[in-house]
Amino acid sequence: MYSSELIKGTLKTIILKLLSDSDEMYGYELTQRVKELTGGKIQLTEGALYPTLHALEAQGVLSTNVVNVGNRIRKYYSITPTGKQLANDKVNEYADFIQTMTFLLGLKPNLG
Amino acid sequence: MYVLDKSQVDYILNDIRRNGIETEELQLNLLDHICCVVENEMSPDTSFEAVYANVLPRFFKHQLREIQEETNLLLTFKNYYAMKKVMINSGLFTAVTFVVGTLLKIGHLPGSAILLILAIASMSFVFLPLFFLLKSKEEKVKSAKVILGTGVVFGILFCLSTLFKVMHWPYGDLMWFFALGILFFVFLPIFYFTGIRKPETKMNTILASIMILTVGGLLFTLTNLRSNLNKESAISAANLYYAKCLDRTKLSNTSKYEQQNIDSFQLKNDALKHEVETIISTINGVKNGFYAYLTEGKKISELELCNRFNGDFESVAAYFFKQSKMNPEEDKLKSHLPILKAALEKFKEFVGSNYTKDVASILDLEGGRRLYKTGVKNVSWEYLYFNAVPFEVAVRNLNQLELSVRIIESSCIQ
Repeated sequence: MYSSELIKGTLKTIILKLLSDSDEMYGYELTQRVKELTGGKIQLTEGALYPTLHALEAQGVLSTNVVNVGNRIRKYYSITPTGKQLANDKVNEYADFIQTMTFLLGLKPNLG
Repeated sequence: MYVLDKSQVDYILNDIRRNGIETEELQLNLLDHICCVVENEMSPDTSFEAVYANVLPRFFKHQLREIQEETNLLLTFKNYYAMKKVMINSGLFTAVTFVVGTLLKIGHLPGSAILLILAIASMSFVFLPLFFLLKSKEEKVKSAKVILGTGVVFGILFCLSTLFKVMHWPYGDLMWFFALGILFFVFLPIFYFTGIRKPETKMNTILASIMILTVGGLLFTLTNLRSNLNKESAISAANLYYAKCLDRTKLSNTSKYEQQNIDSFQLKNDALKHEVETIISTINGVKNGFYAYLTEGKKISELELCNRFNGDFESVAAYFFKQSKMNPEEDKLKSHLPILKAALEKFKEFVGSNYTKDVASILDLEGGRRLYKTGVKNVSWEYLYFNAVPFEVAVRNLNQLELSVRIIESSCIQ
């Protein structure tokens, strides 16, 4: 499992990417999907996930849909068109960041 | 899969609320999440309470409230950026409108007033309040917040008082005094005594205080303590101007008389000189009579008279006119002005028959049109120049008459 410091900087990107790849998801589902996709290497903590979801909703990046499930209410999150654009930008930025870090940390021989 | 019943769900919801989660949306989110985890981990041989007690601590490091605090922080951060954007834009708007408005004002071009009002309004009501809100959030110490607050209050008052003074609106001076009072007696003492306590800020505080005191002092020197100072200096300048013009024309006329050697002209010039002396003594007679009436015979300099009776309409009306008993609004002429007018008509006639008819354009004794509350009315010369005018205008008109006579004299000397 990676340190929470590393995950904190990428949390928005992960949420936006996952939501842009599916119609709608709820909080628990998001954590489970990340766990499943990374083989448990990345685990989203609830303490970071929900504040970020609320902030993204307030920014108009995410929209919500409330559904009654048994004895409780479940809030489904889906991405808005502006959110889709932001998700693309974030993923591209992250890809560029990885390249730079790879070079900076000498993880790949510098052929240039 | 195990499904939590209503009482268990309510139990979790109440527990979440008790642990400091205030936002309803966040409560529902966490409730669903916790329920999902609990339902997944429930097995036939475990109790709900035990699983819940095991699951809940995974949601936080110290206490559940952290999630609420983090959410609040992120939500205010969104406002923070919006506020910061508005603050910077209003600052830019202020700077641009202020510079353009000032340039227009210097050039006496239209539009300066509206630009200055917009600039100062955006500075006082948008930029400075937002600056205070954003900066005070960053400041952790209470004294720093107080310094910031008083500084911003001073800034707003200073901007507004400058606007009020520039636009000649009422209470500008009062606001100006109030702003400087806050600067010297509230802001500066707090700033100085909090700053010098810490060794690392001592030097900077002393230097900044000296700068503030100097700039504040310079601003104080701009304060108009006597609001009618400008009016007084304008009146004395105008009086001085007339006195100088009169002296010069009188002197040049005297030397013109002296240069004349031809006897035939000498006689004509003497007659002119005599007529001029007569009319000027009549003008001076009216003026001195007016002054004597005001001072009740005491000797007071003309400048002091101007200062004392500046803006006085009643004394002019009392000397030159008497109110009609039949119609209080209609003033009747006293004898002073008809005597003066008759003398002036005689002088005009003398110049017209001996020299030129053009004197009418210089010594205009025709009436004119004056705007009254009830509309524009045609009024006679006496009413135009000496009725419903303040003291200083009546004196100026008498001085102007004397100067006109001297100028006519100058053009007639042969």
